[in-house]
Amino acid sequence: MQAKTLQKKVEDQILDSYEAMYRLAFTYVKNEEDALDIVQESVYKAIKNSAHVRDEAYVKTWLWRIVMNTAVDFIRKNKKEVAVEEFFETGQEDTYQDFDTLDALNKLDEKEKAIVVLRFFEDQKLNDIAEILNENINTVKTILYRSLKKLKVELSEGELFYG
Amino acid sequence: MDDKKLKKMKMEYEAIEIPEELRQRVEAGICKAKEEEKRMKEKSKVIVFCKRAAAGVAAALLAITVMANSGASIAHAMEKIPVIGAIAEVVTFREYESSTNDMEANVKIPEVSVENQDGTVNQESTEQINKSIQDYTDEIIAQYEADVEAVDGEGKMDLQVDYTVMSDNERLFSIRFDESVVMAGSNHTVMIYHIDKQTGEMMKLPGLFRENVNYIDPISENIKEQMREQMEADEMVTYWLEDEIDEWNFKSITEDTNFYINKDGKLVIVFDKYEVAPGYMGSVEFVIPTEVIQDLVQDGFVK
Repeated sequence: MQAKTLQKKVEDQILDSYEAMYRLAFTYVKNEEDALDIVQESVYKAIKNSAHVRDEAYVKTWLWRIVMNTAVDFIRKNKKEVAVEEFFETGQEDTYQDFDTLDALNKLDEKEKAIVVLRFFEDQKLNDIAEILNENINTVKTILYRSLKKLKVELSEGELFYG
Repeated sequence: MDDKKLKKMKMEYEAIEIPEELRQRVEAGICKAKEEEKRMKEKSKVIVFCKRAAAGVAAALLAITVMANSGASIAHAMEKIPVIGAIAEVVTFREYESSTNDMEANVKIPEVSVENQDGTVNQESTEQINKSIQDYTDEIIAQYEADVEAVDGEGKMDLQVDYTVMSDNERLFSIRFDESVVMAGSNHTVMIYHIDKQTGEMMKLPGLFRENVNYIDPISENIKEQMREQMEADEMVTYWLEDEIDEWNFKSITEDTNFYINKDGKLVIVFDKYEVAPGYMGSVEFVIPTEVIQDLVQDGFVK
């Protein structure tokens, strides 16, 4: 019966937050097709392994972790393609969406990116982020501080160019 | 860090367009995971069908323990009753045991003897039921050994096969096997063999009923009714009955559906894990009220 509660809970959580899952995936791969693949794969993994969530309270953080890991795996497997696409993206004007400031996230590594997105865009608590990344909270704080520093540098450069 | 910049980034993040296709892809992911659960169930069925091919190979690898049978008292008790038909009993059993690191197996293989009314052994029935049992357990053991080999004994697995004599009365002898496999998940498969003591022959579900009667539909309908009632009464209960994916849905029992007669003399229909419900429901059983089948069933099986 416990397994049933969890699977239902996971499914409900997915249906509740798939748009956020998509946005997180999108910040990693920067294109619709790959982000959709990552979400579908994450959903599949989550339902299939729903019996392994340790606690109901962790369903949401667990889901974030799956999306993050799936995105990171995806990028590693497709490193060349993503690199090529990034080259083309920076080589031309963004026609349909303006990502100038969001592109600053490219300065960050995978973990830093996740922490910034989850903390500032998805309003997750530091405790939960620590749970998602399987890190202790002090490490998360350190990484967050470092990330903001990196972003500031990047944003300042942006201001230099366009200010 | 400039708060304004962060706010702008957040706005852009929130402006990431959600493709129309997303919802569909999410549902596809859910579907695929559920479909694989279903496939696991089908795999356990394939084992049943393939088992004959593997017989003999695994037999040589059996570690055999012959144990004195404690069934003498049953035979003795039977003698006092003016028995009309045959006597069937478990005479001995062998045990297959294997243990490699965290991989363990214990399979009990009983040997059944069927005797005619005059006390002579009914060779044909005895061989038939023992061969069925042997083929069944051989296949399970072969699968286990293949699994051990595949991971060089470094996996985690616990296989248990045990048997229970479910019925032993004037009319019916039934022996039930419960196979439980615990790996990453767990699976539970049931197989029940029956001897009709009146004829001394092995029988399946149709053997309970009179000739040319439709017992499939009344039983199937009764099971569906019970499924609905249980789901209504308890939201934790789920059966595949009106699922969106129609091919998963339970539609009907078959001639090969597992069954036994319980202590109250009622027919009980048994489904394997994953057969009619999601895995967390386990193996499920339905007691069929006798009034549903009383006009269809042969004498002496149910009360």
